[in-house]
Amino acid sequence: MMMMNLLHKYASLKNFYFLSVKLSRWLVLPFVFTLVYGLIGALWIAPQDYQQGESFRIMYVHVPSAWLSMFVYMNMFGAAILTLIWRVKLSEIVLRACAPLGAIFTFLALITGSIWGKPMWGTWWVWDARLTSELLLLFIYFGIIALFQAIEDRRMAAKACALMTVVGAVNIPIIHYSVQWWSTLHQGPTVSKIGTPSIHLDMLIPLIVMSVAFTLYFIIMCLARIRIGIREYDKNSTWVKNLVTSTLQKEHNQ
Amino acid sequence: MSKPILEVTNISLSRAQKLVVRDLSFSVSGGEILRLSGSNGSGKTTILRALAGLILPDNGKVARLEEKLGNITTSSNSVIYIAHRHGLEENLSPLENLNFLSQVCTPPPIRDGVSVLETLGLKTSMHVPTARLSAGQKQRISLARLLMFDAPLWLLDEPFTALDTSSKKQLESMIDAHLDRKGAVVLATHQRFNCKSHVLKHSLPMIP
Amino acid sequence: MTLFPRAVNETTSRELRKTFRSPSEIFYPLIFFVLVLTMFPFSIPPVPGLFNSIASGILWTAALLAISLSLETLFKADYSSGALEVIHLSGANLVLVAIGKSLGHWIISGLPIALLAFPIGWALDLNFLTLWVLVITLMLGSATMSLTGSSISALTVGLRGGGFLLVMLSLPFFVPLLIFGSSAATNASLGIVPEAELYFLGGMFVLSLTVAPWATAHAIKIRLG
Repeated sequence: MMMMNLLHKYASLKNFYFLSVKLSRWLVLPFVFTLVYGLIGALWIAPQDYQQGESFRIMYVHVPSAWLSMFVYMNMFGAAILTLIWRVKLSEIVLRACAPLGAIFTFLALITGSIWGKPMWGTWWVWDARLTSELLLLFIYFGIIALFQAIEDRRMAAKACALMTVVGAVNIPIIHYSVQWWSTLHQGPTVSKIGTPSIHLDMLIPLIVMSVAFTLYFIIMCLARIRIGIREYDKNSTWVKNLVTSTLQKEHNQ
Repeated sequence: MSKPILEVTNISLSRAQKLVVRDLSFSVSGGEILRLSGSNGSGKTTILRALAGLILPDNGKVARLEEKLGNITTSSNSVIYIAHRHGLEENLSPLENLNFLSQVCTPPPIRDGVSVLETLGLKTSMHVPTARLSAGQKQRISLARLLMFDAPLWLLDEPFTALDTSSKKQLESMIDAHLDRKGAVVLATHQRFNCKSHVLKHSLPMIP
Repeated sequence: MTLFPRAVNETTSRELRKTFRSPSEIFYPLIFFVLVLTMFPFSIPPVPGLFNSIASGILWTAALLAISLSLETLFKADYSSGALEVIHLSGANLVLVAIGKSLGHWIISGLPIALLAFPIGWALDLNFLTLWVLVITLMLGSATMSLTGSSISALTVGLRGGGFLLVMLSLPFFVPLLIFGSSAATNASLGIVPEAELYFLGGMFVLSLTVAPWATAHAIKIRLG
């Protein structure tokens, strides 16, 4: 019951706005901490991989990026459901905020995956199952972003992209499975070693920490984009006008 | 005093983030006709679409007799909306267009396509592909739904466009007959027209 | 024959009648299919027998592209004429209309292409099993494309860059069909009956049949207001 009241309160754009300001401030320190700790662990503490030497260390950027590219989509899916069924304005804003971030993480996963593969495969790109799936996911993100741009009315665009996200959510597991099936046909049982390597604790902990750092980064960036969206949606309300004038005044006084 | 067929309370409408209508209220009862007037862009079509249930108002409430507009679905029981575009498939004949509607629409029509087209004076063009008809003829066919279906509320968006004098008179008498049956009409038009009943007017301001 | 609900029958007849009145339009998907096919001999190295060995993959790809491009026509005319709005406002069941439209689209694009694959494949020296598998997988796959594609077509109808946006959004979802369809044909050319692939394609078809019409109906409502 208290949960419902809480949800109801923060579905209001104004309340969520100020909550997100507080949240973003609180998250910056943990983000920096986990990032530094994770990087130290990744670059120094984790021992050399017996097969790949030092080049495996790019995994500490690749794996969190790949994981986040899926995590962001799951968030978008949640927001899409809220938009379609309950027409919550905030979820429309969340949906729009997440899409480019998801695309960036997917792109990062592709680049780092390609860099990771170069020493092993000798080429910058192979049609590996993971990379091909990520590539298709990138196209799905591009499509959703393009759909947002193509429809002028913001709310109609959000509803259309929400439906697209749900359709995508149904298809992504199918795509994943199909590409995996296809790659086993082409490469046989010797799957490339881009999967999670054998778990040595010193290797695993920085990986987890980096994943947390990336997630915190996503949340901070997403909240910033959500705040922009809220300001746009409530453009004509008094609280936004007051906010803008007080910010301008502060800058003027500085 | 009977319950109004249409009651609009303080609605605001925006299109592509631009506020088009602010705080509009009116009600229309059986036998009444309301005319929306205003310059281009003042929101007449947007209002009619909101009354038809295609778009939801940002604020306020649109209530039709027998049902409240709560979600995006429209009820064909209570309203016929004749929009600006004629809504006809060009490769098919008028009769084929109307027959298709009769077959897929709920509730089923009260009159069949042939008799309606005859009433509208299109007996000879019934089987001609719609693309070959004139704008006035197409407009007349788009009005066919008013005769085919039975609904208390008519929403008409520039219905006199391209109509010649006799067709215009026919539409006017259709409106009069509908009002006599205690139906209601909301009409957006630039043109002068004749009506037996007193026409309520609502002027829409342009919102900068 | 009441195999389908009346609304589906009526919608499909309307689509077919509409298309057959513009006779040239009937052949566009077929012509594009053969056109794409013809591009490949120009672009791949002239190794003898190479083209025929990858023929099933090329046929499937060409079919995929031809059907994706034809998806735009599903709702375009009705949207711009206002007919879609009239149909919705008159209380038609949009789910049934969606099924009818997909069926109509399949009859004029997927089905002819699937049937044409038989003589073309024969000319390219594919064995009997492969030919049959090609036809069946193309029929199943293209039906799935018509269904899933109808949702995306409804979402993007009338938008600037609509056709390209539609293809960009649809192709990732069609990749599984391409994978299993062409793999089935390749296995068939080796003499193996491609059971797994056929089951998968059948499963995808059933999934799209149960989900896509509702998504399409919802998409139409979103775009109409």
